Amino acid sequence: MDLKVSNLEVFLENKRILKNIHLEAHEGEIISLIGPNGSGKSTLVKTISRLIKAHSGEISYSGRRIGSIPTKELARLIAVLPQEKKLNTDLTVEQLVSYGRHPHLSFGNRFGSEDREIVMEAMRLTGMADYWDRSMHSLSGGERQRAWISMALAQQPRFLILDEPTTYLDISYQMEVLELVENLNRSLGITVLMVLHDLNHAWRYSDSIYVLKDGSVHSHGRPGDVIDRNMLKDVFGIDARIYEDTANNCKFFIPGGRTKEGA
Amino acid sequence: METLNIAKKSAVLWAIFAVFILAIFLSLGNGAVKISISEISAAMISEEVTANRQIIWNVRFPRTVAAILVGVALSLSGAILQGIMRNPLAGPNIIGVSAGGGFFGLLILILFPQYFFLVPFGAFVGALSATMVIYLLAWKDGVMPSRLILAGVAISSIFGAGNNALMTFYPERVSGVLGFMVGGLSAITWRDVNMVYPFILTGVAAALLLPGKLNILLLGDDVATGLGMRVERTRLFAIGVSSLLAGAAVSVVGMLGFVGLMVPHITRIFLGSDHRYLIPGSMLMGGTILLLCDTLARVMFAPMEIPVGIIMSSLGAPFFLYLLRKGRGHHGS
Repeated sequence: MDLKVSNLEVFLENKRILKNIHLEAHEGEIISLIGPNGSGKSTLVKTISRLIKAHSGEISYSGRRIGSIPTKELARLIAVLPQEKKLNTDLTVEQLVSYGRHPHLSFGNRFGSEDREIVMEAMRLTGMADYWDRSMHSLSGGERQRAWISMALAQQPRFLILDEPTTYLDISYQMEVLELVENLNRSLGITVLMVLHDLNHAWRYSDSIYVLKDGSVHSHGRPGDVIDRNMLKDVFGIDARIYEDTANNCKFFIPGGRTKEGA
Repeated sequence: METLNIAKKSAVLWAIFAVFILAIFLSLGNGAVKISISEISAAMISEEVTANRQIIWNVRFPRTVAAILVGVALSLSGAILQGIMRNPLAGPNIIGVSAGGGFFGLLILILFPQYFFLVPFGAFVGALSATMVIYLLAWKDGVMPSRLILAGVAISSIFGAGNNALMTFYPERVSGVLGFMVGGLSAITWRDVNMVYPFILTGVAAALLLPGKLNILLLGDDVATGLGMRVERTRLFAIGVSSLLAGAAVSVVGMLGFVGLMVPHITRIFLGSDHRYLIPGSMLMGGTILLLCDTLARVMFAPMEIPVGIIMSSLGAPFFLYLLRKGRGHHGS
């Protein structure tokens, strides 16, 4: 049940955004994509989520080409939370989460009590069960993101793709979301591929990190191996000091300053 | 914000249905000749040929049925378009469907008035081809709603120019087409009704497949794709359904604007944005509002009657603005 990307090339408006991308997401891992703005992280997850068509290369999930899997079936295997999500005014948490059942339903197989149970369970897993009848608009940023994640869980996927799940959230909500993702990964064994902006978060929460620069993979591996002063200088153009966080058994960095223009 | 619960929404739907039935009787009973409810029921049952029975069967009934069909079709068309475009300004008369139908209808009425009976067919073809042109113009690796609306507005304005050109070159024929331009239901016969009802019923049946999909599309194309929906295919189907409905409506009533834009908004204020309620609610509300406006159009200056389009816009628009200002619901985006 691994996801494999090989030799991927993506053009947008005749401009090459991604070239020669190789990526492997092993079952049960949390994989983070990091990289500066414009490095192609979002394009990569969107292509994997079939929101953008690849020009060449292959994306496969447990050995099957993603393009050959019917979109509804794919939605039962892989759930995607894109960055751009819209809400109408009077949507309740339960309603939103119930939309996660869409790939399991068909004309002859309508929403039933079993689906209701799965929706309830999805809300319980994210701690949103008590909020089931609340309007999405009355929720805090972190609660809202948890509700979206419940929707993805209602799809009962094996693989979860999150495009910048913590962007626009206060620091405590960022932690709330990342801890939830980690919990879901540990307890349900769901593989997670996410785009993160904060490098320290990536360091702290990932099993494996892919660093993108100018549309290609700059480096990848375990967080401790990937993040070092040279990479930070090379990819992000910052001079940073790296420290050891003994409590969480991971490293972190504090930027010292920029090393070059426009990076 | 408090969320409407299902029981309350069902109650509102039933209330609209009750007003709808009331509106049917008002429409049947009022006009140049007033007919009481008991006479209406008598005329419906008895075989005896009376003047009132003649009026009811040959004048009032087709007109009432036409008003319902047109109101349902335009409102449904608007509700679907606003749903798939996620844009509160979408409506059959904004995105060019009505303009296309209107132009073809006008073309026949002005250039070939002897073929006036082809007007419904021409309007229908015009509406569908306008939709197709707009869709192709907006296509670029898929259709983005905003581009579709802009293309529609542009096409509308081209057809508008065409209408004005026709009227400028043939000023002596303008009076004959005024009814079609403002939208009216006078002189509707069973023949007109028979011609369009298969299209409208087909459209309604197809629309009933859409509510769940429209709800998911409201979350954005990316989320909908992630949930396994084929977004472009669904959108194309929905646009096809709504242009079928709008085209059929234009062919009976002419260029009746505003219903398609206004009714879904009014319904949304009462029922919220869940399309499982919004779609049937808009249908009932559309039929009701058109019936009431058409009845008013007949009795306001009786025995003279004015085109329903005028009533619709002059009374409907202020009422609509009032509801928008005090309403709590608005379109999500």
